[in-house]
Amino acid sequence: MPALKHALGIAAIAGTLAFATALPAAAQAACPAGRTLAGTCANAAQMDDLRLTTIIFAQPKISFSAPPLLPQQDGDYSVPRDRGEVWANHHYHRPGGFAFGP
Amino acid sequence: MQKTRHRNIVRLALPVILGLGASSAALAQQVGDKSWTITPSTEFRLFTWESTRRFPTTGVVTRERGTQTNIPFAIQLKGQPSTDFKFDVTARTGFTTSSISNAGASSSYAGTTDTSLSGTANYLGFAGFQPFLSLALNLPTGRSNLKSSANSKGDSDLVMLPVFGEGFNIGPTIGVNVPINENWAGSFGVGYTNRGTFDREGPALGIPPTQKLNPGDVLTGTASLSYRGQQLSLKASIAYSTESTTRLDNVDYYKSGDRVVLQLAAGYGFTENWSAKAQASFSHFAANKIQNAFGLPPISTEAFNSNSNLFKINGGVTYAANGYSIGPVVGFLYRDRNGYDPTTFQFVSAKKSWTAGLAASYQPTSMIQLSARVEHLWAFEDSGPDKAPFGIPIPGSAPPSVRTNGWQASASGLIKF
Repeated sequence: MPALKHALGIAAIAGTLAFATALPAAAQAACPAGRTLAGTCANAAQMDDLRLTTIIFAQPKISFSAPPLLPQQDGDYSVPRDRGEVWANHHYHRPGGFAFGP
Repeated sequence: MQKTRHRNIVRLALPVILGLGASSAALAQQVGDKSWTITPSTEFRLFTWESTRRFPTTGVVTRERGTQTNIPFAIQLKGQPSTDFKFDVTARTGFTTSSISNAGASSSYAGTTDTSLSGTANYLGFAGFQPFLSLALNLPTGRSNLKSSANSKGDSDLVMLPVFGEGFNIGPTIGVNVPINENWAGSFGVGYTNRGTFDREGPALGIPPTQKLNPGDVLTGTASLSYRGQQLSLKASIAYSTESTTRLDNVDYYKSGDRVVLQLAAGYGFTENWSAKAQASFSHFAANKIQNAFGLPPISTEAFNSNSNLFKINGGVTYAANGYSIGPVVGFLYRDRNGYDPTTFQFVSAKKSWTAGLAASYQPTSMIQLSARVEHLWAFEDSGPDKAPFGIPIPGSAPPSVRTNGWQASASGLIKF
């Protein structure tokens, strides 16, 4: 009987330890995109989309010809161009003499 | 002085991004590469157009023809070495050609574009609060001083690339994602873009032949709200930017007015096979500060707003099955006339453009995605009356109406390892 109690005690401790160590691992596996304020798993695609939107919107003039995106993402994340800047900073002349801007 | 500054910035910024990339790769090896992806991707883009200009008071008609190709390619390393940290590093560059002929004259350009290097680090350990830090660089590998090719730039409202090169730009962004629950989330950020000086060709007469332009730095705050349900997804974003003064040959040139950009995006899945998505953008600038009538500083707020508001919408319907997807795509752009009187030289008339075409993609495996798209473009820009400085009309000075027809096509490939 004492041996059974001893064995049950060891099993209980081992089970508790296993549960305690498995919980964070399970949480990691379950929520690769982090947790929401409500405690549920965040939507990974939604988090990636919002992060990229914020970065691109916060850098509207980082690069005209090579925005920090994969080429396939250009259409979904583009910020409208500043036409006035293109005309003022880069000149815009038509061959044959027709010109725009200052 | 400027080169020293660039070198110092490169010394500071490059190790950050390269370090991020190296540590990401090292972490990838430690974790066994399971949670890391490397994605090379490229796209071939073609835009060809013909514009007819009709000068209203003289009856003269001119035709412009142009073709532009652009081949961007990029590689992205993305991964999550632990539950709490996520990183990505992206490098992108490209090659472009552009040729335009108008009224018997022509101009062409072929060369590399600028190169961007960017990296983002995210912390996911807090529930409902995910801060991130990003750094983007524009390396001046394209050409900003086009010399005899200066006239090969196309209309920025229509062409893929209106500019082939700028200076060394560095753009840090700090932001936070706020996942509220399974459906709703927000995101907030602040970015600063420090833009470096570049050389450009001089005015049309070539005096001086080269000018040094130091574009204004940009400070932007942005916020987004997103909803994702079973079938419906929505996103609304706003950004507010303010710029410092742009200088030309070390003299104050102009200062862009503050800018607001609004964007709405929506997607809806009707069935397992059918879906639709649309995106609408609006951009407004306040009046600029400009040099006086003799082209001299100091700069002061212009009498009327020389900027136009821009409204843009595009969308499409997609049918997808067995790794294939195909569907029609449409787009519309409206740029309103600016605030000046049509008889002044600062007046810019309104413009509309429409696009319609077909987009398709094929995903033979989960690693590979191939896409293609072809669209026709129609654009129209209003004419105006003769200019009348001091109330005296100048015969024949009226700007022409411009009618443009064009085709744009692209084909792209992406592989995830």
